[in-house]
Amino acid sequence: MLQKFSFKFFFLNLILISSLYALEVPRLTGPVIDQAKILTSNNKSKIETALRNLNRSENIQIQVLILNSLEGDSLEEFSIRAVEKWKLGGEKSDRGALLLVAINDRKMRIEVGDGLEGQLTDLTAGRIIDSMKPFFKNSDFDTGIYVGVASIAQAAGVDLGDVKLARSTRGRRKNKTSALINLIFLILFIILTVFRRRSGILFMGGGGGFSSGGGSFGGGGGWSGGGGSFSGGGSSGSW
Amino acid sequence: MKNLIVVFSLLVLSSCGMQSIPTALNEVDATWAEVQNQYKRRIDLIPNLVSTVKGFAAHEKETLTAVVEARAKASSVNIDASKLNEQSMAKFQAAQGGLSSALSKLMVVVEKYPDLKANQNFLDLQRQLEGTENRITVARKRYIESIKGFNNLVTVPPTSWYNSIFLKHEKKPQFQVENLEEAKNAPKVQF
Repeated sequence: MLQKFSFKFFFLNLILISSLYALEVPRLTGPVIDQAKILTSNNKSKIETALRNLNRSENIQIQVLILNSLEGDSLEEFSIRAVEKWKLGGEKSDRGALLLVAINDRKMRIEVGDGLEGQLTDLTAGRIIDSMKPFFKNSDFDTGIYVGVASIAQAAGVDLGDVKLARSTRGRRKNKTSALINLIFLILFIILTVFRRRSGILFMGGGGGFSSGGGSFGGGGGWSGGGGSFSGGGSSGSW
Repeated sequence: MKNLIVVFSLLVLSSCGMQSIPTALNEVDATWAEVQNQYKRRIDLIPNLVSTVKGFAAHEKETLTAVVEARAKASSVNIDASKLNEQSMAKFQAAQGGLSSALSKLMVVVEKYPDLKANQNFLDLQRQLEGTENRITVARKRYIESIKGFNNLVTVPPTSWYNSIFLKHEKKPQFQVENLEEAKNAPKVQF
């Protein structure tokens, strides 16, 4: 009996220890958390606006999380940990969902809140994942993610409406395009410095880094979970 | 003076388990119900799965029969949360574990039938099965956590004193280690 008990105790400790080393769930900063920086900032803010509106008008909270890597963690375990921390969706309604993408692992998962399970079954979630795969294979993550969230909303009975995504600069054209942009910036930079020297006009921050930081989410307000619960429903896939 | 005594005794009682033990017990009830609910969900998927596989692989009779029998066994074992003990728990786990291994054998057999693997109906069932296995994992994890909380309350002072005098609850059984391993390894149905 004693032996049995100590064995169990050992096992519980093992769970505790492993949870200490697991990948940390990031802070909830907005509807789209793009740690891998694969979305263009323009499209990211378009998707965020759509998701904020959806949450405000229909009380359906869809969250997108794009990771660089799971760092050896299991997709399903990380996913349920994230939603347990964030509690997406309202406390009673539980209408929340998470779209999780791990770029380097080439894995993704849709985690479905209890209140959406009836409409967004494991099967539906699986089909949505299938419909995203072709875009991801082409490295068109902007469209893939948008198709994902729009289909989740549609399954829940809401049309996200027309969101015109800017053409993705990612994918195969990426190298060419970014080289072109760099060239344009370089020319601008030279013109500006020359011009400034000549005329003595002070350009604010002239010649500084051309960062493409997304800036603040315009009038977005806070974004936090409402106490929704999850039971592990949803589907996983890889591309 | 009387008021003071009432306040004082309330303070003592509130930290002694009068409230926390029944709360933890309710939590155990709820998480156990969810465990059974998700296992039931798996049981409900099996008739469809079996008949779909049969359509393509009728002569794998042995494997199919094993699944059907394991299903029957698993669906006959239901335990009320108040009757949870080491014995009934072991019985429940044996029945569900039997179904898990019968299912994983079936999924190995399926490998030989490309037509079946490409069948939309089968793919759908496979996806539902995957989803259900994940729900089972989550439900088990939550049960384990709630049992841990409850067992701490009934075995660790000061709440254990209150329990041994008034409530006399026994410790509740945990999921056993070997079955947890099995749950992690066996039912991966990905091709």
